[in-house]
This record gives sequence, structure tokens and C-alpha cells, in this order.
Amino acid sequence: MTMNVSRRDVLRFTAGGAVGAMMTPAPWKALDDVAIWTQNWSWIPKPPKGPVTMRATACALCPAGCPVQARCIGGLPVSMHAASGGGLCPLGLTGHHLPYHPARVVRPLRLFHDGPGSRRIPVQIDAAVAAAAGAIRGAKATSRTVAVIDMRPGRSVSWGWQRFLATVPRGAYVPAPAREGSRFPSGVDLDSIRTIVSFRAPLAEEWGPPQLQKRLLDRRVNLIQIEPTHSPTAAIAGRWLAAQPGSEAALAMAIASQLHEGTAGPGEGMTPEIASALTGIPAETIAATAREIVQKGPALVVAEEGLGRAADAAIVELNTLLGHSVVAQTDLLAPFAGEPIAPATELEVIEDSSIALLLLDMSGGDAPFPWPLVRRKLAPKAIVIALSPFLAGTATHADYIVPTLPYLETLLEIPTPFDSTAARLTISAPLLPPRHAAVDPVKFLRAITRDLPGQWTKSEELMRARVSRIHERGEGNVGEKSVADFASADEMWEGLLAGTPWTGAAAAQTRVSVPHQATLSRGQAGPAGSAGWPSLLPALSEKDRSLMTAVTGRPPRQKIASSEQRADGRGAIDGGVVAVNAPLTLVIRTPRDVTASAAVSPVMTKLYRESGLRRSPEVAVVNPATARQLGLAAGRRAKLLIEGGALPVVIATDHAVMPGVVEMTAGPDAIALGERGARGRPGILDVVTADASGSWRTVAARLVEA
Amino acid sequence: MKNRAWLTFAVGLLAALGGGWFAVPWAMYRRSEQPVQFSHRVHTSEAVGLSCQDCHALSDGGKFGGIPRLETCAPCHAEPQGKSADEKRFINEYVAKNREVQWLVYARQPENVYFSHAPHIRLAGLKCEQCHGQHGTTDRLRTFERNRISTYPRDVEGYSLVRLQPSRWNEGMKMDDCSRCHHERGVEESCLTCHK
Repeated sequence: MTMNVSRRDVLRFTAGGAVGAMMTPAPWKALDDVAIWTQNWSWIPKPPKGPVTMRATACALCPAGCPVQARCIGGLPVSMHAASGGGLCPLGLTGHHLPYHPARVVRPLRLFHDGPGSRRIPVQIDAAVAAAAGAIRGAKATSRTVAVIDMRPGRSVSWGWQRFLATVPRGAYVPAPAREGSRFPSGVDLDSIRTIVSFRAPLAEEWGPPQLQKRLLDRRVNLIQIEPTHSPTAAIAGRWLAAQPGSEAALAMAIASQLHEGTAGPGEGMTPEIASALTGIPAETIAATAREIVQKGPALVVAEEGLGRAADAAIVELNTLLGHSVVAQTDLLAPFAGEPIAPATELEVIEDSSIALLLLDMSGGDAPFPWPLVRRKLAPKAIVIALSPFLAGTATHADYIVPTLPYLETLLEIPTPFDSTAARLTISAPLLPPRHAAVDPVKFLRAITRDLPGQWTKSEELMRARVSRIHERGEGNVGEKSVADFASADEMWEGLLAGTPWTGAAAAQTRVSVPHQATLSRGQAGPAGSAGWPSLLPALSEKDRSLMTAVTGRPPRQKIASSEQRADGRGAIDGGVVAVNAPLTLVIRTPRDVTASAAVSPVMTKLYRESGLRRSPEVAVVNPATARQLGLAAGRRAKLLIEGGALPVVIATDHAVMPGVVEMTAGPDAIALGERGARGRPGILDVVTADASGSWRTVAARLVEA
Repeated sequence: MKNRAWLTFAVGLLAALGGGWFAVPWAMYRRSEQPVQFSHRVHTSEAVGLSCQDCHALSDGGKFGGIPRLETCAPCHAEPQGKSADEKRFINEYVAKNREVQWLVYARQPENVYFSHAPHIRLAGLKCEQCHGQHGTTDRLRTFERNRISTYPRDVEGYSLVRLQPSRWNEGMKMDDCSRCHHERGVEESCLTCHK
């Protein structure tokens, strides 16, 4: 009997085979194995085999400078651990991933911003040097400004920049405001503080080292959180005041006026009733808060930077009123004594369109700088050069990127952190060999100018010079060992390289620093009363002042409740009435990696994606009531309109956000992978501008359907 | 005609079932013999009296020694301890030439995982057999099997394809197995506990 095999037979056999295969583990197992195989391609870096060792260094990713122990296999760090109690923050925990980040700059780049997105081409370092040198010559000839924005001020390299700028006719040194330290009176002993009044500072989330957060929580410090969002910090606060964003200055002044009980002083004239109209917080609550600050003292006021001139000045003066006017001087010695340096200045006091050359020193990290504020200061055809390990954050706006070595591949210096009561110097020693060629910032500085005196040619030389001066002076300790016990500066340097910081002796006392001198001088219309306090009222914005004069029982624009009115404990701010057609208030949050590395570890990307702990920078969060009024649903695409421009966003709703407020996160996209996350889309810092009060964290905005 | 259609379908179905359940799993693994045969039973017998920790030691600092190096074996095997061909080869090829044996490690975890024996043995009090089975009483070293695609050893992937009894040692040492055991014992974990 013959049996012809037809095409139908083949198809039936195949169909049977396909059904059968689905009923076996083979295809599923093969899928699993192939997925694993793709994780083991030869080009994926693998830690070499070798002995397991623990090596000490200091985390240089943020100014806190936490001491860390790196678990190394074959000499390469594979995990990071806190060397003292309190653990590490997510950024520090994954800091050893960052040298491998896809946004790492491996060669000098020329960036062209001539279309949507920027083109980039590799160039020789000589091209960047020639551009900078030419711009310096041009600036001298045309009396324009050469400016340096130092994202991590206080280092020896920072002194080098200041020394360089002193040789330029119009040199401007702009230190980036430290997130925790800009409005923080230096040298305050936090262990003596019983109450902390926080103006939008994320104390329980990303404020200083984790050890500090743990210490404050363990001591059950009374926390008064002033913030428009029911954030995790607000959730643990003893008192949460949901003040209208932008009204922080008024609230600080009202509290100040209550503290000195109506006599002349800061905040004079800002009664709780007026502040209530501006903040939306009942006058009785403001008065009760002031009483609580006095009764549960000593108290300290901390604030997120970028709240505006009036808020900054009011907060500084409020701290002065609380007894923090005289604090320890915690500045470090300069590497070389007696040499002229350019003083620190603020970006806003630099004349618009005057900067011919702008150097962005991001070799120690990044800081949240809204680019439109910088761009306004640039002259036509100005050259912007970023010294950065990553093509991310602020560096994406530069014309040239000069690669520097990242944390763990080079020596980095961590000056006195904000929570130290004495001067402190920490050296972060490298644990990895450099993976790519890079340029030392001081070598670059030497290459672009010949007018710089001195023999120092490398960052390390400046650091060692500073250590030599500290050793000569003989004060303080490196760990348990007195500086006087070190036979030489070199021996002390070796001690610092082991990750142990130098801590100075009890230092000289000085008055609290005032960050916005210009504001206060404008505010000093004359000493008010015997105390000689400057009146802060002129520092308020026109809008606030007109509101103040108009406050005759006028109901607040929004019904905003304080924590005292929320008995259900949900922390929601529902029930608010958003005025129809009223512009929204945009509130910008800046997570720690915006102020540090400008890049997020891929491991954290995965965790953030799955946990929802961080939102993408393209997400605009509003209260559901606000979304309903605007006709926008969660997940819908929309356009955020602010004075600086428009930004495409995706709507998300959250009861924790105040009605009438739209909240956005700045910085790299923590839930997008690698390079795309670092510089994929324009973010809010690319378009936001400061309002009349100097604040860029709180600006007027609109949301319209895309 | 209709019967023939179903028959053809059934033949295809049975062929795939056979292939999927037997042929493919068998072909999926590359098999290798250990360089030298070795009897755990003899070493852990009363006559010799060794325990697991004598050769697979955990140092005071918590570092696991893993597979013993030649220096652990050489003191006893400087002279042949028996007349087997493997013993003779071990002496001549390795001990005499001071050459390390390239053992194939049954339970080697992949590169992206960090596993420490110390907390599992000293803190959790786990027995070696809970993860490695009765390896310490075998007379011969099993044939080593490695997945041709993923390159994971069979002990890590498990011997059963259906995993009906996941708590048995030979069901594997994959991430799910670690997590299951942690959850059963109420041990908190996160990604970074094992993945560095």
C-alpha cells in the first residue's frame, strides 16, 4: 500500500506538533534560557574573579561626604556600604555603577544646538582649549565677563577657578547653591535642636546624609513642615502647613513678627491675618506655630533652595531671631595664602548678555540650575564649556564637553558639609583605574590661560597644598589622631586617603551668612527700632504687596486646609476650589541625583520604574479636582505652558497635591534607561525661568490639552 | 480520510510531546565528567571521619572556602590511599605535579549574584543537604551538566522541568527558590541583597 504525503498532511502534522510543543516545557524553557543568554553577552562588563577586600573611601556624589566601605572583588567595587550608622542613600548605594553609565563622556565633544535636540561630534581637546582661550581674549578686548559656575564650591579646585578669575578683568565666580546648605546657618549643632521648621525641605527623604535623618527621627525632633504637597516628610511631621506655594516669605515673616511680639523686627507689619490671606493658612494656626517654636525651642529653620529672594532673606532673618546669628566659622583654608581671588557672586547680579565665556565645573557633581536663567546672561556667540564626567543635566547645554573622571575613578574633595559644627575636609580616594581618558580641571585651566601665576598644574597639587597648610597650622584631628602627631603633610595626606576626614578644632565665631546681600540691602530702608532689624517687606513681590494692601477681609483664592483641619489623617487636600481660568502654580521638585551625578544607575531605574518612588520628569501631577476642572484625565498628554516656554507632559493625579498646583520633577528621567534617561527629552529645568521674586521653584503655569 | 487527518495531527502532537519532554531537555545540556572521580562517602565515613566543613570550610571571618584546593588534599594524599585508578591518577597528575584540579562546580551561581554561605549556615542554621542534597554520601561524582544556552549548571536550574516540589534540593537554586525560602522564614530581602 502506498501512502502519498500531501501538503495537508504536512500542515496537520505541523499543527499537531505546534499544539504538542505548547504542552511541553521546551519552548518556555528555551525562552527563559535565551533571556539569560542575552544577559551574558561578551561585551557586558563582568567583575573579574579575585580576592574579596573591603576598601574605605568617602562618597563624593553629594556634599554630605558619607564615609563608605566598598566591597571589592579583584580590586573592583561591587557593592557599597555605609561605614557608619544610618546606611547609604539610593544614589550612594549604587554609586559604583555610575562610571559605567551610558551617558559617560569618553572624549571631548562639540555640541550643536541648532535644531530639536543637539548634535554632537567628537573633537580634540585642543579645540575646546582654543575656543576657551579665544573667548577669554575676546572678553578682555570687549570688556565682557568670563564666568565660572562651580557646581561643588569649597574645593581646592574652586579656589583655582577663583584665582583664575582674579586675573581676568571681569571674572565672575558663581558657586551653585548647595541644596541643604544655602539657607542653613553653618556650624549649628543639630543635636541641640528640638524643633525644625522646614520650608519645603525633604528632611525625611533626601536631606543630608541618611545618618542625619536617622538621628533626627530617633531623637523625635518636632518637625513643622511647610509644603504644598503631602510629601513623605509632611506625613511624619508634627505639624504640616499646606501653604500656598510662593507664600513662604510671607509665612516666615509672619512667624518672625509673632516671635518679637509686634516690636520692631523682621516681618514687621506682616500680621498673621495678612499672611493668612497670602498663604491660605488660618491666622490662628500661624500664631500657634510661632508659639510652638518658642515653647519647643531651640528651633531651627531650614529651606529648600530656590524659593526666591524674599523667602531666602526672611528665612535667614528668622534663623537669626531664633538665636543662630552667631555660629562657628567652618570655611576651609585656601590652598595658598595671600593670593587674590575673585569673590563669589550670584548669577542674578551678573549683567544680562554679558558673559563671553562660561565654564561649568561639573567635575564634582551637578546642581539644579534652570538653564534659561543662565542663558539670559550669555552674550551673543558666547562659548559654554562644561567639564563633566557625564553628558547629562546642565552639561547638555554646553558648546563643548570636556570629560573629567567620575567619582571612584579620581581624587575628589568634599569640603565641610552643612551639618558639621566645625570645619571638615574629606578626600574621596579613587578605587577604580580610569576607564577612559579624561582631563584634569586644573590642567584645562592652565591650558586656556597663561596669566595664571603659581606652579600648580593638577587638582591633586592644590588639594595637597591645602592639606599642607592645615598641617602647618596643626589644628584638629584626622580621625582619632591629632594633626600635630603627623610627622609630615604627606603622612596626613595618606591618612585622609584612607577615608578618614580631617575635623578642625572649635573654630572662630562669625555671624550667619546672608545669601542675598542685594535683597537685604534693598530691604534696609532704615533700622526699624532699637534692634536695628532690616524690614523685609520691600523684598516681597509686587503681587504680594498689592495683596497685602488689599487684604480687607477678602477670601483667599483657594480654600486650603492645614493639617489641624484634617482629622481623617489622609493628608489629602480635596475640597479645594480652584478659581476658574486662574493659572496654576507649578512646583518643581529636585531629587538628589539632580544635585549630584546627573545620571541614575540602571538598577535604580528599574526600582523606580517598579516602585513608583520617583516620577518621570515628563509627568505633571495635579489634584484630581484640578484635573476634573481642567478636563484632563490621568494618563492623558497635555502641554504645560509657563513663561519660559511649553513642555509636553503626561497628566497624573494625586490627592496629596494641593488643588491649583501642578507638581513636576526635575532632572534625569529616573525611570528611563541609560542615555535616554540622562538626556532624552527637555525637562522642566530647560524651560523654567525665575519669577519677579527670584524663585524658579514656584512659577505660574497653565495646562492645556495636547 | 477523516481518520487519517486526525492521525497525522496526533503523530505531530506525539512527536512534539516526546521531543519537548525528553529529547529537547536531554539535548539542552552539555555533559562533562569531573577530571577525577571522588567518593564523598569514603571521606565522610567513620573510618576517615571528615565532616563537610573540614574541606568546604567557612573561615572565622565568614568567607566560604568553596571547593578545597590541592593543599587541603595533599597532606593525606601524598601517598596513594587505595589502589583505584582515579587515586593513582590524582597522585600522579595533580599532587605530584602540584597542579590544581579543575573541578566542575555543580552549584556555581551566575556572575550577577552574590551569595554568602556564612549567614545561611551560621545565622539561619541551614544544613548543607537542604541545598546540595545528599552529595556528601555519594560514591561517585555525578556527571556535570551545563545548559548550552544559559550556561547555568543543572544544579542551579533544577532537574525537574515541571517543578512540582520546589522545596526539594534538586528542583534548583534559582531566584524564585531563594525568594521562596526567604519568604517562608520571614527574611526581608531586596534586589540588592543578592544582585550587586
